[in-house]
Amino acid sequence: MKDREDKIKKVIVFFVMCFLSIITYLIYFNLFTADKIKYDSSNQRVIEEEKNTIRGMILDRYGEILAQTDKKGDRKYTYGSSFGNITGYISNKYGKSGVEAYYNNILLGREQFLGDIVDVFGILRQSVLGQKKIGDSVVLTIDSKLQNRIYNSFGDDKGAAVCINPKTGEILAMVSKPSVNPNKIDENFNEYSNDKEGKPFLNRALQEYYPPGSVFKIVTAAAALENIEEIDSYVNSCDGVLKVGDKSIKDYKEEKHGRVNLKNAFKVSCNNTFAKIGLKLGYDTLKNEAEKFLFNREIYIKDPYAKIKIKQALYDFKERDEYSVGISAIGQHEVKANPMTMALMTCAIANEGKIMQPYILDAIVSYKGNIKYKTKPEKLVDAIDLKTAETIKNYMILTVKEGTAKRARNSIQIAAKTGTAENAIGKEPHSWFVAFAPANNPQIVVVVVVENGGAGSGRALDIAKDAILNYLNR
Amino acid sequence: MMELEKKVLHSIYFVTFFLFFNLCFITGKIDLIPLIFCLSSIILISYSSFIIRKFYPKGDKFLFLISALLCQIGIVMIYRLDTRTQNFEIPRFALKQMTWFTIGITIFMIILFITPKMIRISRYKYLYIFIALSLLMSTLFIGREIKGSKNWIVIGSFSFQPSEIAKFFIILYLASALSKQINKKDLIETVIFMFLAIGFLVLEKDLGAALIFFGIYLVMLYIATSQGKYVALGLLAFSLGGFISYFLFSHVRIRVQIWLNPWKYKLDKGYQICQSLFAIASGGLFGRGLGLGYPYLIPLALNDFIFSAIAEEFGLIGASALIILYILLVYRGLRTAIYSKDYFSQLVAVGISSMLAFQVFVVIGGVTKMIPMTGITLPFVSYGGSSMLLNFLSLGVLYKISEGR
Repeated sequence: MKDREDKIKKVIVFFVMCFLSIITYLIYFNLFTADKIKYDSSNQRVIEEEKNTIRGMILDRYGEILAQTDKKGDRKYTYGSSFGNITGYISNKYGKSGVEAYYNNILLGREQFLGDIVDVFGILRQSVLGQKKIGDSVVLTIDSKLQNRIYNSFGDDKGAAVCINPKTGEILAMVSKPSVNPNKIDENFNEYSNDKEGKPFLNRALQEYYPPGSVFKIVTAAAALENIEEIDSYVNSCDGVLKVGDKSIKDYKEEKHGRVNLKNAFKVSCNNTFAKIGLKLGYDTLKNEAEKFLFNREIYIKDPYAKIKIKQALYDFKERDEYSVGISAIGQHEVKANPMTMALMTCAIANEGKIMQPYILDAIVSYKGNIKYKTKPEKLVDAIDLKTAETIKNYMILTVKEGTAKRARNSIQIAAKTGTAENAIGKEPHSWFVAFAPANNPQIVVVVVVENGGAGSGRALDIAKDAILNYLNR
Repeated sequence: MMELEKKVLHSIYFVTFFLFFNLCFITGKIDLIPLIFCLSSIILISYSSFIIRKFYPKGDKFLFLISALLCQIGIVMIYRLDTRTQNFEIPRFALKQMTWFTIGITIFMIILFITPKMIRISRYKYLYIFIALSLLMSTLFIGREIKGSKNWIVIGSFSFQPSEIAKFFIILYLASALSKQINKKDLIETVIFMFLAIGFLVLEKDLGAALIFFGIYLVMLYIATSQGKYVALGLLAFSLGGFISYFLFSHVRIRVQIWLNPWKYKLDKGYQICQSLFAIASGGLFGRGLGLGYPYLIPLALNDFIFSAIAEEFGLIGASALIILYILLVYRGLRTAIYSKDYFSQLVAVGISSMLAFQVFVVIGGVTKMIPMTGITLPFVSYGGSSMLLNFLSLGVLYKISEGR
C-alpha cells in the first residue's frame, strides 16, 4: 500500500512537470516567437485591426498636417509629391512605404506606452461603445515650408537634397525628385514603376549612388591636415594637367592655378593639388579618413521605433594604381556617395568634428495631443578633432568669399564647397553643393545634388542658397 | 475545512459574475442575457454544492468546485464566440453548452446516488472491454468522418464520439483486470486488448485518443505492477508503433510534417495551427481582454482550439491560470487515489485522473505546437455534449471514490 502511494506521488510529479512544461513553452513562445509571426500576411487580425483603427496623423515639426485619414477612411496627403519619399504611401493593392510603413505600429496605436495606463478608461469606453480605435500621430523633424520650397526649386531637374540641423541631427528636409504622389498611388502605380528614367520610387537622398566629385576634397583636406606634418608650409605648383602614368588628371578647363597652398587649392578646387596630396597620403590613409566620415559603414536614420537604412557610401576599390588613387582623392573613380552621407560629413565640419545621429521622428503624440515619446539628440561619432574642423570650416568660408562658390555670398555668412561629378560620357556632369550657415553658429547643413546640372555647381548652388536664406530669414 | 470550501465557492461566484458581467458589454450595446446565464450557473453550482455538503459530505468537494469553474470559463468563451455569428440574437452554442452543463451535473448527482460500493463493479471486466471495443469498432462501420477523423456517430440530429465513452470503459476494464493478482497470462491479455483498442483508433485517424489510451494504460500498469521495466517496454513499443505508422499511414505523416513546419502549409493543411499561433501571439502577456480580440478567426475555436481563444483574450496569465486549475484538478484526483480504500477504486481514480491529465496535455500541447496537433477537446471547457457528459460521469465516480476513504 505504501509502495503504491509512493508511485502515485511520482505520477503526480510527472503530470505537474508536464503542465509546467507547457507554461514554460508558452512563455518562451511569447518572448521569442510571437513577435516574429504576429504580422504575417496570412494573419487576418492585421487586416481586421487596420479596418477598426483610425490611422494616426503624420505631422511636420510645427504640427502642420502632412497626412491624415478623412471621414470616409481615405488617406489624404496635404502636399502630395513633394513629400512622396518621406510620408510614403498606403494602398490596399500595393502595400505601404516610407513613414507609413516604418511607423505603421505607432500609427495603428499598437505600440504600448507607459502613459497609456492613464487612459485605460478611455480605451475601455471606446471598446464598449464600439468606437474605432485611434492610432497615435507621428511628428517628424521635417520643416514642411523648407521641404516644399526646395522641391519646387528643382523644377524639372532630377536630383536630391538633404537639410540637417548639425547640432542635433534633426532632418529638416529630404527631397528626392522626381517623386510619387501618394494621393494617386493606385491610379499611377504602373506608370511610376515603368518610369525607368525618372525612377520616382527611388529615394535619391538615401538610396542613390553619385560620385561625390570635388565635395570629397573635404575628406582629402582633413586627411592632409591630420597626416602630413609639413602641411602648413606645403606649396604646389599647378599647371592644369597632372600626368600619372599614361593617363592625366585635368583641372576644370585645364586652368593653371599656379603656386597654391592647401587653403587656396581648396578655395579654387584645384584637382592637380588634391590628386598630388592624395598620392602622397596613399590609399589606406584616404580610406581610413573616409571611414571617419562614415564611408564603408552601415548607418541608419534611427530612433527606438524604426531604423531606416542609408545606402552605404563606398571608398573601397581593388585597382589601386597611382591614377586610381590620385583621382579618388578628388572624388571620382570608384568613390560612391549619397546626399545623406555627404550631409553628415558636412555636419562634422559644422559641429566641431562631431556627427550627431540623424533622425526623422521628433515625437509621438496621442490623438488627444499628449506627448508619448520625444527623441533626444545623440552623438553618432567623433569624426575629426576640433582643430581640423575649424580649419576646413575656414576654407569653406573662403570658398564662398573668393572661391568657386562666390555666387553664394550673402549678408548671412555661408560656408560651402562646390562639386562637379563626372558620370556617363557625353552627358553633363552632376552638380553638387554642400553648405552650412551661419558659419559662426551653424543652424542648417544643406546638401544638394542636381543630376546633369552642369559644371561649377550652378543649379545646385542656387537651390541651396535659396533654401538657406529662406530657412534663416523667417 | 468547511470555511475554506465556502471561500472557494464564493470566489467562484465572484469570478463567474465578473466574466458574465463583462460579456454584457462586448457587442457594443448592453446585453442582459449573460446575466441570466450567470444567475442560472450560480444557482446550479450553489444548489449542487449544497446537496453534496448535505448528503455526501465526506467526498472531496474541490473536485466538483474546480470542474464547475472550468465549465464557467468554457461557457463564457463560447458565448463570446457566439456574439460574432451573423445576426446575433441568441447565443446558440452557449445555450446548448449550458444545457450540457446542467445535464452533466445531473449525471454527476445520479452517479453519486446509484453507484453501489465500488468494489462490486469490479467483477465485469469482459463486459467492459466488450463495450469499449464495440464502441470503437462501431465507428468503422457506421461512423461519419468529421474534421478528418472517422470517429463520430450521427443519429438524427444528435452526434457523439464513441471513443469518449469507450475511454471510460477502458479504465474500468483495466482497473478490474489489474486489481487482481496478476500473472503473465493476464498481463498479455491486457496487452492484446489495448493493442486492439489503440489499433482501431489509429485506423479511424483519431490519433489524439490513441495517445491518451496509451498514456492511461502505461500509468495504470505502472501503479499495478510496480515495475518500471513495463513502462520502459511500453515506451519502446510506442516509439516503434509511432515509427511504423509514420511510414504506413499518410495522415500520421502529414501531422508530423505540419508540426515541424506549419508555415510552409499555412494556407492549407497547416491553416488551423497557424491561426491558433497567431491568436496566442496576439494575446501576449495580459491578453486583448474579453471581447477585444479576434478569436473567431481561429477555426474550430469552440472545440479543439478554445485554449487559443482563451490565450488571445486572457493572455499568458489567463492561459497559465487555466493550466494551473487543471493541475489542481489532477492533483485532487490522484490524492483521492492515494486515500482510496480498496485497490480497484485506487486504480479507477488513477485512470480517471490520468485521462484528464493526458487529454489536457495533448490538446494544449497540440494547439500551441509544442507537440503535433491531434483533434481532441479540452475537458469541461470545450463545446461538446459527449465529452461534457463523460467528464461529469468520470467526476462522479471520482467523487464517489473520494467519499469511501
